[in-house]
Amino acid sequence: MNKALLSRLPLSSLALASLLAAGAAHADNAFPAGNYKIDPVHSVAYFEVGHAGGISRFMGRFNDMSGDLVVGAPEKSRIKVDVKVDSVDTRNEGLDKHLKSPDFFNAVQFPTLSFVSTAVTLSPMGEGMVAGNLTLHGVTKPVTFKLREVGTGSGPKGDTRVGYVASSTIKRSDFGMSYGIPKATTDEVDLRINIEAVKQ
Amino acid sequence: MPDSSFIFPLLLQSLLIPAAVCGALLLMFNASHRAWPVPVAIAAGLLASYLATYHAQWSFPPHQALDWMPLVLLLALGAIGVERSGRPLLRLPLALLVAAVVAWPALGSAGIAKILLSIASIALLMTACWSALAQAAPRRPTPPLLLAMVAGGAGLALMIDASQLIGQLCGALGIAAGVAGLLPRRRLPGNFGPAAAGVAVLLLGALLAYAHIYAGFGLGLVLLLAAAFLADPLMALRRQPAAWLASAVLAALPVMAVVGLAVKAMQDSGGY
Repeated sequence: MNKALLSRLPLSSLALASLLAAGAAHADNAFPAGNYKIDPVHSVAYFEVGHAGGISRFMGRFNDMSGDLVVGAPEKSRIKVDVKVDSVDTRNEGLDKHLKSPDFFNAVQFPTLSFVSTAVTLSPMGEGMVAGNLTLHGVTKPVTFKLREVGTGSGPKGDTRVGYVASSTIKRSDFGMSYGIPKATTDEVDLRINIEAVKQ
Repeated sequence: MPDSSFIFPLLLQSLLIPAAVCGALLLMFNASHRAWPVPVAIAAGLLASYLATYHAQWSFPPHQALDWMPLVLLLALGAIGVERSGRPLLRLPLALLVAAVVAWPALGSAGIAKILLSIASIALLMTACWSALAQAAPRRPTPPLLLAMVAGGAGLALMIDASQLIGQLCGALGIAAGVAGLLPRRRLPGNFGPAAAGVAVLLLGALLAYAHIYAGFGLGLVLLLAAAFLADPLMALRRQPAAWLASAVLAALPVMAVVGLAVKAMQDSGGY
């Protein structure tokens, strides 16, 4: 396409063309369909809350995560994630102990946090939504995560791997975790799940 | 300077509310000379604090372990019937029932053997402390104050090292027992007898069991707190008029040790 022709094209056409080109490039790098298992070493779940009534943002993570993915057409795609609440890590042993107590997660009675998808939508750009049921503190509620495909490729052993990031914001009071709202920590909690999964 | 908006609710929920409810009920029951007003007032003080602290989280039917606290309170009041029946052997079954209500929600993760062991050991400990206090209660002024000291110390240690929520409730129980012990004797109907000792011990035992099972409060600390209850019967053996003072000092030692160990644990874990 010469310069003269390019200058005659409307701007919206250019934008559409570049979007299609990007989509095509993404499709070239399509995520291989199949069943995947979450790699617990390279996957992690983060949470972020407002501390002391929301004067700052505080982050913690759960180190022990497992689960399965089915990658394919959106109607066939599935995500199931299990997180061990006992693996909560804020880089402070005392705070971890407090978070595991009945004031917050009550990790003895409710040892697992889990998410099971019910619907997945993904654009050709690799961005979309995953709706499903989140079980936290023994309470199950529907939650929708924003989903982003990160990449696909081979691992060190030649295995096929895919990467996703899912993020959402929930209210902890909806899950029966109301202690210390809002003076200790805010009701709103941002969740982010970074997943790397290995094809089975 | 601590933030008053953080401290004031704690003082309201764990100090003012239980003290006001317990004191008001004791004054209201002034005309009665039966055994039930004091234990009922102590339980009501704790219930009021529980509602003030936990109302946003409480659900019915009960969902989490602490949701069962109203049932624990009702069962603990069964101590009045046990003492009225004059059959001390019934103390153990009642303590087993209270311990079972506290422990069973952990069955799914802890396993049946561990839970049964927890229930049995908690119940035995509660029965031993109840029996020790019940023996001293009619004759000496120390049991309610001893309970206040142990529950207050436990509350402080729990707030520092395990669960602020359970710590607040322990503190509230301590305040209610303290009010029952400090109100002038002529205004204290029915006195602080074995029934009151039983109710207070069962409630404190239940709260410490919650802390141990669900919040990682060490068994060693629970045993130290239970040891404080031995001071009174030990000093009673000496039959000296001023022995209650010595028993108060002797009981304070393990309580202070528990608070000290909690502070150390907090410092060791990063000073949170």
